[in-house]
Amino acid sequence: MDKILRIKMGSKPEFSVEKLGDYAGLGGRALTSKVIFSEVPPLCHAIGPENKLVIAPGMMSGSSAAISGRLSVGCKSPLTGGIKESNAGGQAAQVLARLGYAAIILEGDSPEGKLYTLVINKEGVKIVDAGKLVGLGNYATVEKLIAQYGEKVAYMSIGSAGERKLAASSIAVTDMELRPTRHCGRGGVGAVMAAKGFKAIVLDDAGCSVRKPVEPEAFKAANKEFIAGIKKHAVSGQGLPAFGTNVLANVINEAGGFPVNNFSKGQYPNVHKISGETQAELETSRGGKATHGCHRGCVIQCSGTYVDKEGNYVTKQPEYETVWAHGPNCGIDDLDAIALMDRMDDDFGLDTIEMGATIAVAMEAGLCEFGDVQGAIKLLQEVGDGTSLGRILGSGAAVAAKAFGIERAPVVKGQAMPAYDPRAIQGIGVTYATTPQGADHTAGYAIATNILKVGGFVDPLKPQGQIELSRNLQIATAAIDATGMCLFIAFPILDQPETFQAYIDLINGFFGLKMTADDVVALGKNILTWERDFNKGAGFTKEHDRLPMYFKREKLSPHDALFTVTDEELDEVFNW
Amino acid sequence: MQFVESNSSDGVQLSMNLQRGVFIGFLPGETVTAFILRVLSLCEESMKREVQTLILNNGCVDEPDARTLVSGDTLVLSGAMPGLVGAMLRSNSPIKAMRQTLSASVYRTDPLVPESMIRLKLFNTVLTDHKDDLLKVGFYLEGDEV
Repeated sequence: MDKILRIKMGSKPEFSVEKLGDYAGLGGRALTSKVIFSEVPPLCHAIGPENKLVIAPGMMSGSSAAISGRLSVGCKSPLTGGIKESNAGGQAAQVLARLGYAAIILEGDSPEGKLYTLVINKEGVKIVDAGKLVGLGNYATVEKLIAQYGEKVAYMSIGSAGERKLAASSIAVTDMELRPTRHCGRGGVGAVMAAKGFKAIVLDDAGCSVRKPVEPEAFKAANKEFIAGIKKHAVSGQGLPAFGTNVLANVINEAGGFPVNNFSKGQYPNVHKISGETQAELETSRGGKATHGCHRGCVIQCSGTYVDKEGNYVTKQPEYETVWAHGPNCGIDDLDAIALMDRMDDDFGLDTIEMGATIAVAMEAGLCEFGDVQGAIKLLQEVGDGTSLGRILGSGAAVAAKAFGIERAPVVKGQAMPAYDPRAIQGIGVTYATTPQGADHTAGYAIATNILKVGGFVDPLKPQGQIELSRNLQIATAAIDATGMCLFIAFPILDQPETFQAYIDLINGFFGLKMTADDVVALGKNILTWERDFNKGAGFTKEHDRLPMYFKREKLSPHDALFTVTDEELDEVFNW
Repeated sequence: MQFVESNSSDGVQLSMNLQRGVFIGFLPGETVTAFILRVLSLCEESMKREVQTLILNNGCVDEPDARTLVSGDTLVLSGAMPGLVGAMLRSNSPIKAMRQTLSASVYRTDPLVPESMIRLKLFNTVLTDHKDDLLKVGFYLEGDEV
């Protein structure tokens, strides 16, 4: 990973291969955010030629380090107007890293609005006309690409939503079975890929080898210890493989933090019908899989395969946020309907969180009733068909709420909140409000006790504790996002000091470094500083680090909770 | 209300019943800890390892030894949960400050629960690992769950 591929689109598409220069030592989110901060004018239009799309595997991707296959995509977001890093699993990060690229940077704009396919292999780079793929969904696109480029390749693509440059559009990444099920979902990155003139990217690492560590023995020993730690932990070794992330539905509901009917209630009576436990039982009983990895090298295997009553493949196992968004947030308790909408999102190329939140807003506006399964599917189909209504819905919850005259738009910086109500779980509300990414549950995800001693420094009885925790969690998450490691490694790292040490040893062994916890903190702070400085340049102020006012006014049952963290406290999050 | 002490329903239905909650008796003065040890046939060490998330009447429980069960309580027993919020919800989580609102139970008794009983819900690995223990002890289903 010692080079960057820069594609300049314009009247005549060109490309160049560059040395890393100032970007040396960075990967994943660190690299995407540094490039956007350094090279993109913050006031540019997100789908204008001045914006750039940066695709970067993590620092450890392409190696034999466990769970290192996360891919980061960065740009100025069409949804938020600020910086965006959206990441996904799938095979692309591993293949791109083995091809030796630390990043692909797409610049300029599509000549005459045409779409191309970018083909990268060991021999070089080709930019070919994608005319035959135009208008196809992700599944049909990948099917045609496989016919041309084969099965030992990773594909990235956009669906019809991306082609229409909708702000909720995603970039699909193929999984191990070459299905376009892994998405850089958040922030409208699919629209930026279309604006740069690309329908698909073909990544072929034939003839390339696994990235070699600088200190092979130390790396091998650390990897073994790291994998053992992941497998023995109750979350990463048992709960996630057995039930997937949707195992959260029951417990978040029980705690009263499960947003229902467009964030109007905190509990859903039929949660047992759509929970991860029920989903896993159903999948297994139908002949699907409840345990499956999203990329090679994953040892957690939190995904699965959702099949219909006849045992036919429908989609990958919908994740917690997807089940919630298309389910209880819309008053829907039908797993088959939720799986169908997940499939539609993947095919059209849409963020499932944004679309579920948007349909709930539309339901509140009276376009159909909460709980109306066919009504929800019809609204989603409108987006896929590109109708006028569909284009409004495909622009996200904030735009839909404005169009239909609804105050209750659960968004921060224009991006829909995920599946945790910030009134019940105030600490995550702090992260929703302050992350440069817009409302994002993964922005403050990494459990950083061992890195930052959060537990020891925080008085749980003082509200300031939530500010400090959110800050430290955001710093640690940004650093992990740079490595390409799945965030689910956070749990064994939290509880098992030997696994945290193995994680540090793994990175040090690979790069021949002597990195310490202080270095991790410094990297995380740098990333957040680049992101916040970009947003400042784009016109964001502290007043954008706020939740919508109704979260301070409308009580959430059963705790009658309001979001009580003050604006002054929120302003302290990045005061380091 | 139907008494259940053997697995007569299919796996998906039994799983959903145990997630929705079943009625089960508790002993006079029994603490949350004592109830868990008795019903799930666990020792204290195993309980700490296997039952890492405890929710009583919609509030997180950090001191199960200190809370005595009363009629109409709803008790949730779960393995460790993923995600930031899952980590917050764990008993005595190092980041429990982030769930202050949830650290107190909602004061209410479930009117559907018979006297000297609680509603018990099992989630995650506690559901799969201990449903047979619960079947041995026996429990009641609400009328419409049979």
